[in-house]
Amino acid sequence: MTVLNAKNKEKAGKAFFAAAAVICVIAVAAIFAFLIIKSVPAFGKLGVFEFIFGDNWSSDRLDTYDSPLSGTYGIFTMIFGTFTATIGALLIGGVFGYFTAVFLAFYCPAVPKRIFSSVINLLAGIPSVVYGFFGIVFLLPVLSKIAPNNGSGLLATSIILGIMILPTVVSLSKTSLEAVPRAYYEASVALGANHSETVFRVMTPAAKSGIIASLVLAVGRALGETMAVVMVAGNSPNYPDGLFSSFRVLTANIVMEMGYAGEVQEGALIATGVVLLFFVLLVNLIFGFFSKKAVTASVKKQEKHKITYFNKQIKRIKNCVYSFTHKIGAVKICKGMAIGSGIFSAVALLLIIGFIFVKGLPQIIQKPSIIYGKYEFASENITILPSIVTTLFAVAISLIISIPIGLMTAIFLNEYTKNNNIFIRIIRRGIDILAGVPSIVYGLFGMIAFVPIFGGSSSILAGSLTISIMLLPTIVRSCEESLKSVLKSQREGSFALGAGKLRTIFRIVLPSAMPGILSAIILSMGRVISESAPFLYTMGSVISAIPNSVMDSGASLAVALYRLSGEGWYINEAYATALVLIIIVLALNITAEMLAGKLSKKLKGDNA
Amino acid sequence: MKKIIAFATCLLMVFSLFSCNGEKNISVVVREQGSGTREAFDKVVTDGTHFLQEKDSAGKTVYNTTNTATQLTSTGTVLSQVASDENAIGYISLGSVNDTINVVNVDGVAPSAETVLSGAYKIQRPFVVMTKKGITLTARTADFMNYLKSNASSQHSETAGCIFLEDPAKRANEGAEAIAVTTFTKQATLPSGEKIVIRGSTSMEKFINEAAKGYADAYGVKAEDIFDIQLEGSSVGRKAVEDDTHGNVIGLSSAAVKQDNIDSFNVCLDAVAVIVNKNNDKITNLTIGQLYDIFTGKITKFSEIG
Repeated sequence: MTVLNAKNKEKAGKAFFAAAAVICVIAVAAIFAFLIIKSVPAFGKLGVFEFIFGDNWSSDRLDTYDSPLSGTYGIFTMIFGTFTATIGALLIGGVFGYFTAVFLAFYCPAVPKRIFSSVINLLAGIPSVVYGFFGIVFLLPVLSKIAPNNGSGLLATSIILGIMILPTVVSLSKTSLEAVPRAYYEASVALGANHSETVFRVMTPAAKSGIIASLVLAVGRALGETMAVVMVAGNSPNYPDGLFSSFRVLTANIVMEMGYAGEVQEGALIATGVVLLFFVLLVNLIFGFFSKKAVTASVKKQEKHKITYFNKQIKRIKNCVYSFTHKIGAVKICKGMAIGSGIFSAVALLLIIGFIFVKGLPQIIQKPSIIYGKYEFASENITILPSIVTTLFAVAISLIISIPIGLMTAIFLNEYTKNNNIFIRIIRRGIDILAGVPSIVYGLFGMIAFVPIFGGSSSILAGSLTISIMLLPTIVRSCEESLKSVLKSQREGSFALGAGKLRTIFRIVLPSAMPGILSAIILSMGRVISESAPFLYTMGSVISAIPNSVMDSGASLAVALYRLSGEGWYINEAYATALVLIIIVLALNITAEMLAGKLSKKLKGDNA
Repeated sequence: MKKIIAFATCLLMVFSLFSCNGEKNISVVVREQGSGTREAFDKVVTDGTHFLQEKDSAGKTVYNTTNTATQLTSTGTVLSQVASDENAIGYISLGSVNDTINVVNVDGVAPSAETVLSGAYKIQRPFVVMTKKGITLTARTADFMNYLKSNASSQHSETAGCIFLEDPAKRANEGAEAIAVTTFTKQATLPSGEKIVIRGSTSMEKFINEAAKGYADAYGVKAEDIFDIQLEGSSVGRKAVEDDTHGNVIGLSSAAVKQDNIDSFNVCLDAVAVIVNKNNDKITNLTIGQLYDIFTGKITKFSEIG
């Protein structure tokens, strides 16, 4: 009888975990279903071909589905603009990112390397509105010295996006460079190549697929970025025809016109979201292809093809040594680039954080009431207290929803799925897709799915639900990673002592993985605090009174910064808000990093 | 390969340095399509045959604004952009003008209450208050609507920088029944009802905040306790009014509204002021024709204006 009970309990547990995983898949399906259903009338009215390849966007808010169109809706200029900006970002962020990774992996001494690596990770945590704000108050004035205009346009966008994708490129490229077997390095040096030659002619080719994968992932991020771009791109709907010409990207189109959109216009904007989603998925497929290649390559290296691959490398090294004289120039340039990029990245980070500290700190010291001051209706005194409360609400609600679902999905994927059947593959694919969806598309989804449910106007609840879906993939992935890092022998030991699967999971696996899970939770908090695009049309965008229920609307801190930086007369308050935002996010990131460090220490301890 | 890239970058930098000697181009700053401010500006500015926004012979909307214009989504962003760029020109609601920028006369007329009411200053538009047609408003919402329609809102208009409409005929939509200016009489106690939900145009923020505060003060309550105000755009306001089921939604629009399912009245007139940078003291007056040429990109330098 007890045996049967235990069995049922195990079964129920598994079903529970599986259900969580299914929720993730449902979320993906819902996003696609809602966006497509809402955009079909627009595609029908405007024509798919005319919409995608038309290069005239002259919207008319009075257009309705039952009358002839007065506006013209073609998004090709924006598709073109999106891709140009992405290429620009790749030229800046990709090149500097790669060389910074090389610098960190092979040139940097151990202690600065540790600091630098975590600093680069912090760069990833800075909210995109802060990048945009930095663009407005620092980059544009500098660029306007050489520009025929105020400095906004393609170059400014590419620089800001380039800095934003830098951390992605650096950390992933660095990982794959460091994963190249040490033997390659030693063999190359033994054959007479010097350090730099080995780095650029042996290690880089060996880590090629990993580096390309990091670039592709960076492209995905650049495609989907919204707020920072809106703030510096100029946003006229035409082709970018110079470094400083005003142009518009797909994401900007949605954010810019949604507030004043009429019936057909709104459909066209949702259709813009569908096109964007399509491109991002395409990029993700390519990423999947390359990262698979990277995995198979490293497996191959370690197994039987080792010898032939190794021979090939030795041949390369020989070639390299033979043509030593005329290649020394190239390698030297590369070395210089590596060191230069390392310095550039450090300077970029210090500049952004330093600038906001220098400008924001005096504001907070002079007028600390901005943080805790009482909200006064229609007054000139800005307080961000309501925004802080709104943000806390959003963090609490979204974590309560997404942590259990995400963690249970991770447990299901890691503990229960040995075989890779179709069901599991659908779940994994679904989570991968969710991870790639741009934040503005989540915002659109929330606006058409959640806002109507809660009475048609924006509310904290609608905003929090939107962002909880957005958090799911990151939580699943990082929880799975930390579950994976728990040694198999621990589970086996538990089973051998007669513990069931559930007991093993809750008593053995979860406690060991706890630091990693906690750091995932903290990173998610940082994400809720720093995101703005998903909140604009779901939670509200105006600083109003402190919310007293989840049905009230309000602006989160990041949204408040977006608003304040736009309003010319609150620029000092904007600096203060940016500083508060950065401090919170950095503190969360550092805590997460420390916890993750604790996890690896703990596991190493178990190893010994 | 890397050398080529490096060389190309250098070339590009040198080129961009050369391209910028001499006087800079005018940077034209406009609002996004669909904004009420832009509509008011684009439908008035003309060279005699064409307008900045017009319909072609096939009935299609055409925007003639130059491709190089910077498009921004709020009054505040336009203001800070013009304040920071010496060569910029833009337009914002008159009520939002402050001393960080200069206002330009149009056809020799400065925007003010008198010139807007007389029609001498041409770039103007109504601020519209909307409710759903046929719905029974909650007692509190109805009372606040009475407050808005009464002469009580004239002082709020003044504080907010828009021009109160005295003429009952002008307060109504074209061809609709005239709406008289009443006198607001306070009820004995604050009428019952849930929070009054206000959605709509960002340009009307100052006005509605003043009015809400004035109304709440009249009853001795806090405005934030009886109002839920989130301004995200005129269309959001229109949609919220259409979807109203409780009779507590008031919409604000900064462009004329003609919809069968919406009751509306024009509460005040707003002028759209043309603004330039504080240091730009050469440009104090522009004709409508010059504005058209600047905003379509025919005039690219301020020195071309005599």
